[in-house]
Amino acid sequence: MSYLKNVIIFGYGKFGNSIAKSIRDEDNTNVLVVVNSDEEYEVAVMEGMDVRKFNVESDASIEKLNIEKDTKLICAMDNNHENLFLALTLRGLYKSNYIMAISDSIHLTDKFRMAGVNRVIDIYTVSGNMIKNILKIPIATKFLQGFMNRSHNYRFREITITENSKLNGVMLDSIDFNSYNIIFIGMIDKEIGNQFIFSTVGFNHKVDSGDILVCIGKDEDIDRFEQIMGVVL
Amino acid sequence: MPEKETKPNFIVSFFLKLANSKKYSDIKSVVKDLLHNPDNRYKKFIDYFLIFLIVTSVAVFIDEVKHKIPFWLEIYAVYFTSAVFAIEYLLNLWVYNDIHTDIAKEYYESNFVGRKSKYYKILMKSLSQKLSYVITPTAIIDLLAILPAYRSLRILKIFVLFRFLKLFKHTKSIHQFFEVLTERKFELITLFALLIFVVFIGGIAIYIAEEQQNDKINGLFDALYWSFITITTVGYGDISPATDIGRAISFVIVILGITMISFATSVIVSAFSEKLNELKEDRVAEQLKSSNEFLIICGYGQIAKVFLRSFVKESKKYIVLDVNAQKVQEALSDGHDAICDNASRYEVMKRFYNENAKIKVLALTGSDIENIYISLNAKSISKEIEVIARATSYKLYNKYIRAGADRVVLPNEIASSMLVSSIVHPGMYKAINAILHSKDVATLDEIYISIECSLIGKSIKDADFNRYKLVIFGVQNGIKGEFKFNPKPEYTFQENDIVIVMGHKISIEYFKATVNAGSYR
Repeated sequence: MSYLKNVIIFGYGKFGNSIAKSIRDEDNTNVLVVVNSDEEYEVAVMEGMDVRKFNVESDASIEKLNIEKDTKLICAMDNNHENLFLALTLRGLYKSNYIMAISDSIHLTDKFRMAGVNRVIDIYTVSGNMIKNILKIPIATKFLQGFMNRSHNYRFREITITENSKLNGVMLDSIDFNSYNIIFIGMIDKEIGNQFIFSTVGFNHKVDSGDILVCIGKDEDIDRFEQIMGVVL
Repeated sequence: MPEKETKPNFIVSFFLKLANSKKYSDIKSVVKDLLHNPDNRYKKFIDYFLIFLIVTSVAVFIDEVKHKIPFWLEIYAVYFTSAVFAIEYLLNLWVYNDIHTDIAKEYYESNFVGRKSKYYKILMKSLSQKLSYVITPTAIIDLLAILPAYRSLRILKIFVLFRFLKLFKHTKSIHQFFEVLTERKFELITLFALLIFVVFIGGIAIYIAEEQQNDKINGLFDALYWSFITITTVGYGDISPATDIGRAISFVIVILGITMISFATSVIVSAFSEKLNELKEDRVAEQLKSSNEFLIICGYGQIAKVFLRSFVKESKKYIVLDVNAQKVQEALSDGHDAICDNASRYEVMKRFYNENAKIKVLALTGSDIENIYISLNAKSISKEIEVIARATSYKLYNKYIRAGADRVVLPNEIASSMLVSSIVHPGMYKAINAILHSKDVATLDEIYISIECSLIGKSIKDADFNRYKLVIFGVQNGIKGEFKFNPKPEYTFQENDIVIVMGHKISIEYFKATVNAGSYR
């Protein structure tokens, strides 16, 4: 079986468990969990995960997974040493795959980066920044957190502009997002690359097919906007 | 057989009236707080005022020794300052104990059980308590400091020195110096007794040995004087031994003197070095408490370090508390004010409490038990203290809330949800990540609509946020406290509204300056 455009999570402990469940809950996403302990294997099976158990230190066992280029790999093992070793192994075997890891120390974050991990989430950095934001902008931080833990009805939505969309070829400043009760945050312009451009930089740009508009609002409002603009894929 | 209820006489009625008067007890407690509560925000002003009176009046008295002072200055230094000190003395005497409550208690108790009241005994007991205050060193100094007012007796002028002694009471550093010495009372008294003993032994010895041969020693007092001057290694030389026995006594006295001085020095130095950290910590705590808003960061781990790295730029007051001395040392080396103490202890947290300050406690230790305890501890001191606690698992979230934590930060959950977002909604992840990490281009801020803000009464449309390239996320209504996402252009701003906007940092700053608005916090 191949896991094209899907996710493989190594480890089903304190991080792997919640990451796997959250990703599995999303539509169109397949998750494979790889563990090397009986305990984690049993929990993963009991929770209905697609799970494999083998020694992750073995290159041969990992190669048998037949990982495709677009599969995202997450190093989420509880043991930092194993996790780092795994990251090195994965980068050695899969040069172009997107590898992510969670780090619980500043020093480990640097080591992951040296090992070639594309994105390292440092729990202390995100938490430290979160606390600073709670103190500085408490209401706004609560609002933003609501997007991630889904504690309110508003969602971030990435609207990919299709060829037939009414928005294709339209200038950004001519779109009245407010009348649909949605807020335009920014866009990813395919022409420029994958860089995210915030609406606050004050740019006016012609929207082309393939561009991604990032908006926030209630699901029903964004759905209505997408339908009217003909961007539903 | 119980006695019939007795009718209170005039004096007892007066005390009963005082005991039942809320106004009287309120006034008395305010005065007591002003005079004795170091946390009272106005006490320092009273102390400064009294210090000013002491220093200036003493300066006038010193100047008066050789020069004639103007009449107005005499009025100020002699009568005004003495009147103020007399009032202070009487107020201290007044608040020292409550005679009226003792009398009232006796009245009710004697009537309740039907026995004969013992007002005289109670009154004497209360007065003896007042007397016990009068004979305390502080009260004696206070009383003597008033005396220079009676300057008809020249000798009373010497009492001006007592004004300087009053500084002990109002100057914390001098007060602390004597506190340190008091802690070594036993050693110092022993040393002093030894000094007296050796002075006497040496004095008597030189008196016996040289009274006949040395014309400078005319009595025991001269001998004791020589002994004291020699033992303290001062050695004026006005009296010196004239015989070999006398010189031999000098050897012994000088050696004993040097030994005692060294011993006294080491006692004082060791007392200070032991107290030094505590004194420093006291200073830090005092400075912190004097500010209107401050943070108490409990636990100097990775989160605290990351947090402080960006928080120090806010130039707000904070203190780090950790039970681990090594971590405290690390915090101090990183340039933070830190104290090695256990934040879950009531007295530790109470030490920083100031009812007039906005206090926020960050419970960031690695242990949930400690963090929950710290949250409870802070809330037990005051519900007004805001607590932000770190929890290791979402399962503990409710426990933290029950413990009184206002916000619970779940590092593992935050990191996991960030990672999930980066896979599932990369656009949202990039946006939120940029906002949370305060990227200049996407700064999220809360604009507080104060009474001075020109936005009051204006609609969103009129305010023209687009011109400033700002995006309104929502408004928290200043009256109802409700949060309205993406409000309509017709929404009219009111006082105390909080507008959540996203924009370039410079755009937000410019907008705030233009509409005369501030930040929420």
